[in-house]
Amino acid sequence: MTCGSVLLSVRGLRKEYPLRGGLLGRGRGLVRAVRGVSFAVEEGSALGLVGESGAGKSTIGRTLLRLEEPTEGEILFRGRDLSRLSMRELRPLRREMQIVFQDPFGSLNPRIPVGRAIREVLEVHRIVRGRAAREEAGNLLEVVGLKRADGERYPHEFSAGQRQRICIARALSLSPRFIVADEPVSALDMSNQAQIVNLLLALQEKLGLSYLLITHNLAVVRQIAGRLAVLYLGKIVEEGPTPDVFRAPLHPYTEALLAASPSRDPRARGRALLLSGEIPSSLRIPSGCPFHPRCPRAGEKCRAEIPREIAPGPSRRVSCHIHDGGTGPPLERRQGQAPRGPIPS
Amino acid sequence: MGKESLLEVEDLRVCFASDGETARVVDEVSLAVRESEVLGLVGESGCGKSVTALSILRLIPEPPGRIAGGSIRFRGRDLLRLSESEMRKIRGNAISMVFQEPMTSLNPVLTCGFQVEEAFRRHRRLRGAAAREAAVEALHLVGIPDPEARAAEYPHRLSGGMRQRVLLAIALGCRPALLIADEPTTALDVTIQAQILRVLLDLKEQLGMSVLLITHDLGVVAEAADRVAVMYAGEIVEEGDVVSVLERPRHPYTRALLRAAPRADGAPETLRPIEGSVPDPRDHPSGCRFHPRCPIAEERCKEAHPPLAGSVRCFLAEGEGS
Ligand SMILES: Nc1ncnc2c1ncn2[C@@H]1O[C@H](COP(=O)(O)OP(=O)(O)OP(=O)(O)O)[C@@H](O)[C@H]1O
Ligand SMILES: Nc1ncnc2c1ncn2[C@@H]1O[C@H](COP(=O)(O)OP(=O)(O)OP(=O)(O)O)[C@@H](O)[C@H]1O
Ligand SMILES: [Mg+2]
Ligand SMILES: [Mg+2]
Repeated sequence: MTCGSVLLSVRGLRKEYPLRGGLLGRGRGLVRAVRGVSFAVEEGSALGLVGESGAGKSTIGRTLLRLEEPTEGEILFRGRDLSRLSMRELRPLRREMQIVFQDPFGSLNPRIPVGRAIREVLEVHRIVRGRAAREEAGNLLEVVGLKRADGERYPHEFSAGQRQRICIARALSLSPRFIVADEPVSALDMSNQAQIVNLLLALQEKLGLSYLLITHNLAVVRQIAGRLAVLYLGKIVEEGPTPDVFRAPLHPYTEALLAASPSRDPRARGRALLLSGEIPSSLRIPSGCPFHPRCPRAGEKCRAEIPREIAPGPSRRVSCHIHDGGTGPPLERRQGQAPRGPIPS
Repeated sequence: MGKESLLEVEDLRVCFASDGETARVVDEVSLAVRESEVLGLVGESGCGKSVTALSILRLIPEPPGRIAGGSIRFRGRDLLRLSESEMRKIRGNAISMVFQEPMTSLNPVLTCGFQVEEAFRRHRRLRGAAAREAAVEALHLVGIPDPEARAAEYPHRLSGGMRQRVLLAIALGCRPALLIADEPTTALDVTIQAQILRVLLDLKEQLGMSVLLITHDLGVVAEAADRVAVMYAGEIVEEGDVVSVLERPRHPYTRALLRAAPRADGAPETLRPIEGSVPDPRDHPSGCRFHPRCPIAEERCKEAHPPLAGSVRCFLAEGEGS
């Protein structure tokens, strides 16, 4: 959170996927997964990226490491534009940037013992070999709370949470400077979550690691990330220092997200539900402000005009008409045919 | 206790063999899910939740796994005594399951829509356009936007949370009497999670569906479960109705779990993970399995194995039995 130098800076990132023709054979659609996203991650700090399922979080993570080609945009890592490097030029940088995938099982080879998987990463990148590699793999397993002997076992012999920790160990093996952690703790129970969160924090402090932390778990963001960006339908709608955003969210979507956290009080059941309306589709981005069909405070202007990004406070930004001259007369909402799903309370 | 039990698991024991050693992964587990009830099953990673769930459907890989004892009665019939073909009629029909890792249970070469339709064709005998419509309706129900268009997509082209919802659509498609849901909302953000839980609770109310809900999220338990069972190192250590367990936990392990959970409300504190880790199932501690990590353990906890007495497995349980 200290004002270090910028490690990663992303400008105008876009990613589109053509939709498969489909059974209906109608005109092909375009999934606009990421629609012009800019942000920066400072050395030794963590940026939290939150947003609804399907908002484009994992896509951003994958394009940052060029595991997927961005449709458009700049990705500057220590000043070099990754989107212009050849695969060969990219290779040495790959060591410094690692990703922990959202689906741990899918990213582990089922046919090799997990210890060997970690060892191979070390050897391929010529960090250490032979005995030393074996030793190091054991250390890494211990760091994430597993046993050295677990290195002999295959991925399917572990529980889901244990597999997640193996993936974290593998990502750490190259001592990267930057980690994209895609839902790193969502497969873990609360005690393991706490352990991993504390581990990520300790590594940040000790090694000056930086993170892009993708998660829907707001409590975890709050623990780890100095800054928080909120993604809605492929665009950042709000960004700022985490404590400030929690204390005073500016965008109505951020407000809804904070209010929707289930409380641990079984007597308060059902109170968490807030957002009404259809879950939006990245195939049909609404006109004007993309959040307007679900926004409790939307006005006529929100339906018609795309809000611009403004900076209402030090190091904060938001795209919402409420903070930029008002929303105009309230939207008329059709009542009656509410979709199944959250019932506004 | 009023309602009839739909599922009664008694003294279930499941072992895994590895390198000549035997791991007792599930040890004398008993639990009951009543008609139209949501039972939450919670506990740390590796304590045996998924193995318990898989055993109910007899989906444990044998070998190395083995159901070593106990009974699993569903509507009075012991599932462990059924033939494989009888079992196949139950899976996906009367009992369906949402697996923990969506990518591994969806077929990568079939479109999502096809996989949902398949459930309707197989279990509800719908054909052609009727099956397709039902599939799109099911995808809509679980909150997939633009379900007609999305039905034509392959699993790897959907986001993590969408895949999880496709699985749920498949499981709900056959209108099971019992849904076993293994972490059904972990990949979902809070707003969609709330919607999914609402759908489950609606089906419970409207169709009398029962749910075995496996989760590590105590917020989800508070939101959806009627009763809770807490599992540690292969055993049930505490059970009870959701309000008592969350408000007046009696087992030191349950109390530790509640303390370790990060909360989005309230100030960010340093998290307090439970010291140590879940014991290796090949080598359980003597006496109470939790004693090495327990802040109040006494001498006798190291020696004797506490029985599940008055719904809590602890010599030093707080509060009176129920
Ligand atoms: N390989 C792909 N091909 C086609 N479409 C894709 C592909 N990957 C992602 N998408 C689409 O891009 C959009 C964003 O997906 P993404 O996985 O980035 O979401 P997410 O924010 O990570 O969601 P979740 O929280 O559910 O993981 C979705 O509509 C998804 O279907
Ligand atoms: N096929 C297998 N072979 C050997 N051991 C296994 C196998 N499957 C599971 N285990 C072991 O059984 C124990 C319980 O696993 P299980 O998957 O039930 O845990 P869980 O409670 O569901 O954890 P999580 O919350 O991480 O999903 C773990 O120690 C795991 O290593
Ligand atoms: Mg994702
Ligand atoms: Mg599990």
